[in-house]
This record gives sequence, structure tokens and C-alpha cells, in this order.
Amino acid sequence: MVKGEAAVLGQDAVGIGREIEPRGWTITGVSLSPALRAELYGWALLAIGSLAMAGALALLLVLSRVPQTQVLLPWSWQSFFYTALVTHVILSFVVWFLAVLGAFTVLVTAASGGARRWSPLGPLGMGLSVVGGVLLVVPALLNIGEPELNNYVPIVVHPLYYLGLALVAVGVALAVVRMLANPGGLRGCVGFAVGVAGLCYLIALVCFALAGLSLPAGLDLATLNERLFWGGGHILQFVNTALMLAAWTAIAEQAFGKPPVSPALFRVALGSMVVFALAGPVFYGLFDILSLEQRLAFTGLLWYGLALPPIIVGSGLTVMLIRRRAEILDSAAAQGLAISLAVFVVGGVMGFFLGASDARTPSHYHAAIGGVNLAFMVLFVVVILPALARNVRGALAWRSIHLYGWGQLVFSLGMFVAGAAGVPRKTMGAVAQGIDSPLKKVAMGVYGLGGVAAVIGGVLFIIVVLSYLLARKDSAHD
Amino acid sequence: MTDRCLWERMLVGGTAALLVAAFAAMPAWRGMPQAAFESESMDATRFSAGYDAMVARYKVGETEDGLPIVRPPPGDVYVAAERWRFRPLLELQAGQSYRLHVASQDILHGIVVDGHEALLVPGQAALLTLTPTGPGSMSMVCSEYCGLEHNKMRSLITVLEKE
Repeated sequence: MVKGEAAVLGQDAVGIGREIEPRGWTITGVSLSPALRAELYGWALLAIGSLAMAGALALLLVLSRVPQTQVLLPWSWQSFFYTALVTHVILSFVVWFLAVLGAFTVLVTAASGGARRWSPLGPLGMGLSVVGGVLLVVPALLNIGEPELNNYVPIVVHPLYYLGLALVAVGVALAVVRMLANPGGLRGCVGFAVGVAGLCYLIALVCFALAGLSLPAGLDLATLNERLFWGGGHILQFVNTALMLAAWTAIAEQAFGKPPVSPALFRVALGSMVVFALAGPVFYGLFDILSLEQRLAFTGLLWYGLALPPIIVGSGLTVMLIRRRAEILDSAAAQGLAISLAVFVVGGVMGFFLGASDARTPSHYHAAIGGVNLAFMVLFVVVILPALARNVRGALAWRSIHLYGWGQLVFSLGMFVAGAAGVPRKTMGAVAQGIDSPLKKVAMGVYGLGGVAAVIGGVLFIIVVLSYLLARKDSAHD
Repeated sequence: MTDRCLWERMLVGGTAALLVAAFAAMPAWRGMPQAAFESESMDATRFSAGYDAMVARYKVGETEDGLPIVRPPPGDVYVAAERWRFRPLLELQAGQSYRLHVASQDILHGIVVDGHEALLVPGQAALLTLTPTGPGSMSMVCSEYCGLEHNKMRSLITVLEKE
């Protein structure tokens, strides 16, 4: 794609803000048409808005547990607690990630020369997802519906919540389909990874549909929601991982001018994820949906299919960071990349030492998700905001990323040691958690300190990025 | 062909081979025995009769919330799973063999005990031969999401020294 071509493509055509490397097909540096920019803006607002709302709900959750403040809330805290917890998780773990996928589809579509085919699907998908995101919050704010803390996609059993979830799901699917219909941008490493994420996402939707068709009538709501979202929820982890690898690669291209591994190796590693994800729908034909075998098959799929791609790209990234270490001190993007890699690797290693039901399990996924979050945070600063003509200046955004990253690392390590010492997961209070030894007390203290740092970093990041998004573009922060 | 090119091709080829091997091995891991539990056809009436008789004969105490504490002899032992507890609390002897019959009384639950797992489908029972090795305790945990208090659905089997 060159400037001359872009000029003849009409409204959706893109210009190139900076020369693209001959082999690159990179998404960094693309400048967007007004239509695509509006779409990207919508996805960015949905992503950061989800995090902001998730943070506000987390604050309300804390207030609802404190006797002095719970009386100030307009709801009974007992009923509000779980509804707010479910909404907090869906926003910070599902909507935030899927909104990043939506944003990525816009950048990849732009890199392909614009949305020449099926262009209305893009804005339609973004609009549906934003409406869906708003609907997801309504039951928590009105304190209506029955919460279910099932795995991956927790549920508030209320028509508004299910409708919101469906709109987000369909909206993101439309954006993915539009990207796949304009495949030129999929040739670069970042585009390829986003394409893999998109395909895995569509496979996850097929799994949800197959589960819905296979479940017998009359099931208890807990079992119904758990089994409805179990298989597709596992495939969504392929989506999240592919998105993180796309973000790492985009940042590496920005910081060092090339992807972490050769394009051929990258394609083999990422392409395998689609092959493994395709096994998901097959499991619905092989195993009864209510069987132990089906549950274990999806768990095994993650073990077998999800380990190697991050190991390969992460190894390349490690080699790249070591070779270019002299540049790291001068590159905030490279530092962000290094922190994301470190936190994710710690989470990955923890995954090999999980107990049956102690705090090591949440320590593993908090570190792994923390690594993904950090990759997306850096992506916002170095790719998404500049693509929206909002160049981040000053050090506050980077300081917030450092604070969040180091905080998340300390928090996860503290939780892991506490879990190894016997502290159970998902329990509260010193007695219920059995905090009765010096090791447990120290570990829980470290966990608390890291958590506070991570929360402050996360809140700062949301404030900084929201201020850029809500300010007028064109160097509003000069 | 340069050395760098050769190494890159070997790396790509090796990685591809690893991924294909992992994929090809899926039927093997899928077919591996996952648990020592057996499924047994035991209707609710028979299970309840066995449970009630066991509790009536071997109850040694009760917890504050009314859960019976039972110390059965080696042989058949009945455990009911229900939202969100296992009953009764068991006290078993180290070195003795017990046939553990576990059945759900309401919805789908799971059980992990001594590293073995089974799904507890209402209307069926799962059977495990358990031989505690030493004094101490063994945990019994629900492994299938069953509602908001799912994570509290756990029980400790006390293992006593062999008499």
C-alpha cells in the first residue's frame, strides 16, 4: 500500500502516515480515513470505558463490604455484591479484551487499504457492541437479576444482561467478518495475529451456539451457564493470547523496527492456534455436554494448544530485548514490552504449579491477565492513541504502566506464596482464609501492597487515556 | 544457503513438528483414564437407605450446624453431595479400604478426592475404593461450578491412626 494507491480508494482509503517497511505490512503508522477513525474511536472508548466502569464497580464492591459505608448504598449490599462482581469481571475480562479486538480489526482493515468490501459492518458492529456494553451494566446499577459466578463468562440472569452480551458478541463478530473480507492487512505479522484472533473468536461463537443447542431443558441455572460458556470460554483464551501476541509484535515493530521472530516462524506458531481451536466444536460431537470428558477435553486443549505460541514469540522477544538492551532505557515502549513479558512469563510458570483449590490458581491467572493487560495498555499509548491523532506526551501514562505492572507482579507472587502455604481461593477474612502462620501473613501483606500499587497504576492509566480520548484531537495535550 | 537461513529453517521445521506432534497426541491424552471412580447404578432410595443406616450405626458426633460426624468401619461408605456441602464428615482409619459411594442430591456437582475426580450426575452414584495411607486429613472438593457458594463446598476427611 502506498500513498498513490490510497488516494484513489475514496472515503475509506488510508494514507500512510509514515513509510512502511517493505516486508512489514505493519499497522503502526497507518493513518485512518475519517470513517475508520470514528470506528477506532468507538472501540477505544468502549475498551477504556469498560475498564473505568469495572474500576468504579470494584470501588462500590469495597464500599459494600465496609460496615461504615455499606449503609450509604441504595441497595442491600448482600444482593449487590455478587451482581457487581459479575459485572466487574465481564467488563474487565471480556468486554475490554473484545473491544481491543474490535480496535485491532479497524487498524488491520486500514492497513489493507480500507474497508472496500462490506464496509457498513464495521460501524454497525462497533455501535452494537457499545450498546451491548451499556446494557451489561444496567442490572448491576439497578440491582436486578440473579448472579452466577460461572467460569469465563459470568452471568447476571436477566434479559437485559443476556441481550447486552449478545449485542457485544454479534458486534465484534461483524467487525471480524469485515476485516476478513478485506484481507490485505492480514499479510503482516500483526495482521496475521489479529486474523488468528478473529478466526478463533468466530470458532468460540460456534462453540457457544453448539452448547446452547446441546444442553437439555430443565437444568439448574448454575449448570446451564457453566456448561453453556465452558467450551467457548476456553476458545476465547486463544483469542486473548493471539491479541497479546499481536500487541507485543506491534510494539516491537514500533520500538525496534521488526517483529520478535521471523514472519515464517510467527505464522507457524500463530496458525497452530486456529488448528487447535477448531477442535473445540468437534468436542461437542465427541462428548456429552454434561460429561467430565468434555470438561477435561477443553482443559487439555489449553494445555496442548496454548503453550507453544507465546513461548516461541516470547523467546524471540526476550532475545530481541537482550540484544537491544542498550536501547531499552531510552524507549518507554520497550520498557512496557519488557514488563508485559515478565509478568506474563511469571504467570505462565505459575500455571505449572497449581493446587486443587488454593490461591495459586488466581495468582496464575492474575499474572497472565496482567501481562495481557500491560500489552494492551502499551498498545493504547504507542499505536491506538497516535492513530486517533492523540500523541501521548509526558511521563504519566508510562508511570501508570510501570506502577500497574510491578504492582501486578508483586501481587501475584504474594498470592502464589500464600496459596502454596495453604490459603484457599475466593474466600475473605482472616479466619475463613486460615491466615494462621507468619509465612501466610507476610505473603498476604505482600499481596495487599502489590494490589494497592496495581490499582493506583490502573486508575491512573484510565484517567490519562480517557483525558486524551475525551480531549479534542490534534495535539490537544501540547 | 547461509548459516542463519539454515538455522531459521530448522527452527521453523522443528517448531512445526512439535506442534503437529502435540496435536497428533490428542487422542492419546483424551483416551487416558482420568479417574479411578466408577459409575454405578444406584437409585436414590437404595443410596438413602445405605446412608441413613451408616449414620445411624456409626455416628460419633455432630458439628455446630448439624452435620453428622461418622466413623464407619472398612467397607461401604456413603457420601451425599448437595449445595454446598458434602455430608457426613468422615473419620476413616489409615491403611483400611473403603468403598466410597458418592451421589448428588440436587444438581450436577463434581468431586475431587485423593487426586481422583468424578462428575456427580443426579440419579447416579460414583464409586471409589479409597485406602488412606497415613494419619492426617484428606480434602474432598466440589470441582463443578454449582452456584455462588461453590468454592465453599469442601470437606475434610479425618484419617485416624490404625487401631
